[in-house]
Amino acid sequence: MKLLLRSARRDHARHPVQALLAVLGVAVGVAVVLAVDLANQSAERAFTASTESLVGRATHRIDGAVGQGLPDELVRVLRVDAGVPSAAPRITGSVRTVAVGDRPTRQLTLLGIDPLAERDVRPWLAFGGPAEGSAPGPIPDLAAFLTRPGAVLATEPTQQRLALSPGDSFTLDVHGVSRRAVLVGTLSPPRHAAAGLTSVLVADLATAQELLQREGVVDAIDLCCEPSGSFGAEPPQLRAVRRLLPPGARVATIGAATGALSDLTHAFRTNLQALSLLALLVGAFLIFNTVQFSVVRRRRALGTLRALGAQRRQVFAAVLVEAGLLGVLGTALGCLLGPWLARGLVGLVAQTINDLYFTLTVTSVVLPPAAFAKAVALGVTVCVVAAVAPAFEATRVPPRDAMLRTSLEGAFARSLPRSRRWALLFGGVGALLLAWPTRSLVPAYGGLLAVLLGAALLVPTACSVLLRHAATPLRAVAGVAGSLAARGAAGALSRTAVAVAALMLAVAASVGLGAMIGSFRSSVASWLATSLRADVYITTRVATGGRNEALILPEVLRALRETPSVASSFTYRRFRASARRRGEPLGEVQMVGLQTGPQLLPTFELLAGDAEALPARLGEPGGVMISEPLAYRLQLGVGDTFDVRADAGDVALTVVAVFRDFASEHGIAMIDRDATYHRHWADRGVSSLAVFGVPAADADALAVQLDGIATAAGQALSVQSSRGLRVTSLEVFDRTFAITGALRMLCLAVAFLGVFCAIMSLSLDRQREVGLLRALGALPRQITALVLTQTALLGLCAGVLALPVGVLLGWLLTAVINRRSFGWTLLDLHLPVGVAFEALALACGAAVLAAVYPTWRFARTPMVDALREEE
Amino acid sequence: MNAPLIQTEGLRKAIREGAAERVILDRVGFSVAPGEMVALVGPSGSGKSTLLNLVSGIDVPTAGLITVLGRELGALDETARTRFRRRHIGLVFQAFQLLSTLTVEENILLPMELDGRADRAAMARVAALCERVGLGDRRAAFPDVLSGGEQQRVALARAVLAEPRVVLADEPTGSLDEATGCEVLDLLTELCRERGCAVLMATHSRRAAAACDRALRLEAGTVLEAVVAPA
Repeated sequence: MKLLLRSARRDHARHPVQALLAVLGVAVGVAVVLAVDLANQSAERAFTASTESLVGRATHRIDGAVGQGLPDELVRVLRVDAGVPSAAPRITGSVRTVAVGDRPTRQLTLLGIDPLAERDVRPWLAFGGPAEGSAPGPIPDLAAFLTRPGAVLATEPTQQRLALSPGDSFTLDVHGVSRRAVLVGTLSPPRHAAAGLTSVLVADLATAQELLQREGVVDAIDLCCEPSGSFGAEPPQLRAVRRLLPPGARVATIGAATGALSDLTHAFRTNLQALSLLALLVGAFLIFNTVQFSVVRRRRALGTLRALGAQRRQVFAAVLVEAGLLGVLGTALGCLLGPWLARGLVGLVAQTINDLYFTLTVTSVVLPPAAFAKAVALGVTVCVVAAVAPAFEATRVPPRDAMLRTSLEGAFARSLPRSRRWALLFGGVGALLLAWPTRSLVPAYGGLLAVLLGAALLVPTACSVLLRHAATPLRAVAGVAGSLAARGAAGALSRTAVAVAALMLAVAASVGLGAMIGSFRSSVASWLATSLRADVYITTRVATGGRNEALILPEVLRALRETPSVASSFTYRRFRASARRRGEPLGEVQMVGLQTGPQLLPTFELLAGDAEALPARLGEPGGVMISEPLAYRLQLGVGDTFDVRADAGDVALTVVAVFRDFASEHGIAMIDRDATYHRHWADRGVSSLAVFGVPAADADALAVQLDGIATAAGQALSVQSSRGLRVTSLEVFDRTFAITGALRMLCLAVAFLGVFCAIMSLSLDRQREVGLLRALGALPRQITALVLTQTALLGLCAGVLALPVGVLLGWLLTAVINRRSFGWTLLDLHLPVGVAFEALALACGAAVLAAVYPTWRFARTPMVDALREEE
Repeated sequence: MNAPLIQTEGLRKAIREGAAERVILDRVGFSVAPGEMVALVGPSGSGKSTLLNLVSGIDVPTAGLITVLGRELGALDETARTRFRRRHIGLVFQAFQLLSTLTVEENILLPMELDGRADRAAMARVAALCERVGLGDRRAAFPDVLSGGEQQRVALARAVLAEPRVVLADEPTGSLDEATGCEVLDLLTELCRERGCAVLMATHSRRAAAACDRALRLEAGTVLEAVVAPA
């Protein structure tokens, strides 16, 4: 055993390039999986930190009615009458710093708190410090903080991001209105809370109310309730709290409130993880290929060892130990590369979360030891598991045959029917899993994996057929050299088929993702063209996802609607409401109180329901039109009913139509403003406005005009023509898929490197054959052409096979994964021509590039040495 | 007297092994006349294969002159040597050195193909040579399914297809049993005699050496004696 390993070690020492490539193949596979894991965890950790910093040690939270919040008087009532001394009010709002000189524009959260009430909930924001009697607290100058107009505090990292120092005055854009603020000191929270306060300005409650123009109101009151004696029972104080709540207000556990936000990104994170596992799958194929190639290359030596009396188990163990060592080296390198790669990915992950879900700032990549342990286990395990088949094969061949290349190719040819049977089996299992009537993503991804494995198992057969048929036309074109290239490629399949399969998988994944993104984009573009029929859309400049939507000021709204160029306008009021069906909670639903009109309703593309009857049915009290994702998520159809929480209690809504909507993956429910919203909710605010201009009006000019009117009236709003909004929406779409695109490129990079390693190793291994050809009179350029043609043929095989597999993958991603993740059905499968060409070019390019170094080396290796090379 | 086809003078080949220099051939001088068959004999490690590599232009000498068909090989660059070799020199190796991915006739045609001369006439010559070496019915077979003797016959056909004036054979019977070796040797002799090729053959076999017109004995890198082989 010791000698076997020594022989393997020396073999690697003699072929350092091959050994290095093998280690690199493992390293890149491990690095990609680790990087995605770290990026995901960093985003999650940032989210948790920011949530924890805001909610602190609170156990429960009281929220007010839609658009109304809670009266700040309630805090006193709760403390005195309900006996909850820890009641800590807070108000939050999205604000932006206005760029001046070196100071950049930054989106921030303004958090208003009562420092005298924070000791139990957020001690790092309390006056007097975390423990009673300890002083001074984290707020440096309490007097200034409480009394100075616009006084805010920020942590040191936040100050650096904003280029501010204590004492500096600056301007905040609060829902389009400019407000002056002054930094009165530095907040120094403990480390665990500091991470979540990176993008937060902290102000006294009164100051924040003034800045946010919401005097007398708080968003929420956090409570620290004594736990109940029995497990699962509600704390006794809550009963008293409930009795004191105003209409529309509700109390919920902190876990439920923050969990809802975490759930928002669940599908996104699952899909990201699945994509990284695709990279690992490609990586696993490459590791398998690397180990297999290493065994095949030393087949002669192994045969000699067997002939000299090495037992099967000794050879088996030696190959496994060698693969394990390879795995350890590759994984170690992968663990070094992973965090570096994660730094690039985390920005893209945070960007997508910011665009689609909520404001999130990720300042650093977390490096949890568990993620590294997982990566190490994964890398080494995959290496060892991948080595089992080649190791087993190495022990099965009789010693004499092991020394013959012919027996290897013969065994490969004999294995083809078996791999076809396995391919059919995997394909069948995959189809069953995909057809399984469930909404869970796990069987869907399992099915996808099985289908991909099935396709990969067909690669050797398909390559064999393609290359056999390529020999005749190539011979006609390039003579024996052409035939030699095709046959050489076919004859090397026992050593390259797995690498070709890996390349095929990666390119197919690229084509599939390209098709999915292309289909998605074309569906979204088509939907935008249908739904954006108004001339101009106006909304407040606030990040999405918050509970408290910013509103258009009434005087600004009036000014906009009275503009002579405006023929008609329709208002939207976005809000969130708890929903339940037959008593079962359905969670919070994004809702819109819509001012319907004859011009607006035709912009909705109905997937279910009667379009002609829509105005009448939606105009009935309790009529609701829901988007496709919501219908899918809540399993609702036309005629179904569900309840939502309104100011005075639950209101029953009846689904009158399901419409296509790509604006929100979680879905949206639209009710008529006059018939339903104003009847059950006291709020009269307006979040957005759709404007139709007079017939002669140019939409872009009208947008500019209305923007000026809003600003002049005292509120800067987001005013966009429908054309501008289409462009912006597609920009957001492209940003959203940047992470998918990045992972797609990483998958390709893994495959590229793998195939590069495999073909380079193969080419280097052909030194002797090349030496013979040169001895027989082949010129260096002929050798170069031969090697490049051969490798290009392998790449071409991967590319050609990747196209149908990629299209199938694209279809599965759009029809199954996308549907289950988000509930969307896309209009059609759209394969961008560029993606197909890219796939072919990439596959061939990878293969040809991989042959460049070997051909360069062949040209420099003395013929005598080449001829003497070991077989 | 015809000018020799192969001539060497003061040939020296040394290689570096770490700091030391190992001399493989030293002051080697000999010539081979047209149509002459010369055996190169000597113990293993005496430099026979190295000498053949030098004469074929596969390798270059450290010092000395090698003239083949009147061309001084040292004056040619590698590409020119390659072109010269594929036109004028046929090679036969001990381990046959056939490409397993090419058929019998493709293996034979390979040097002509590499030289861009694989025309109809060449194909006809391949067919004739296949018949001549007794493999007329195995033309489409791959080397893997041939016996050692059959493979070496393919290699012989490949060596003479381009009608070279010089054939260099390195232990052509070394991998074969005695009977098969004799058959191959007879075939080599016949093919070369028919075409008037000069043959330089490295061998350990007395029988093979005896089939030649004369033998050169290499020992410790030097031609020690030139003896006329028994008829």
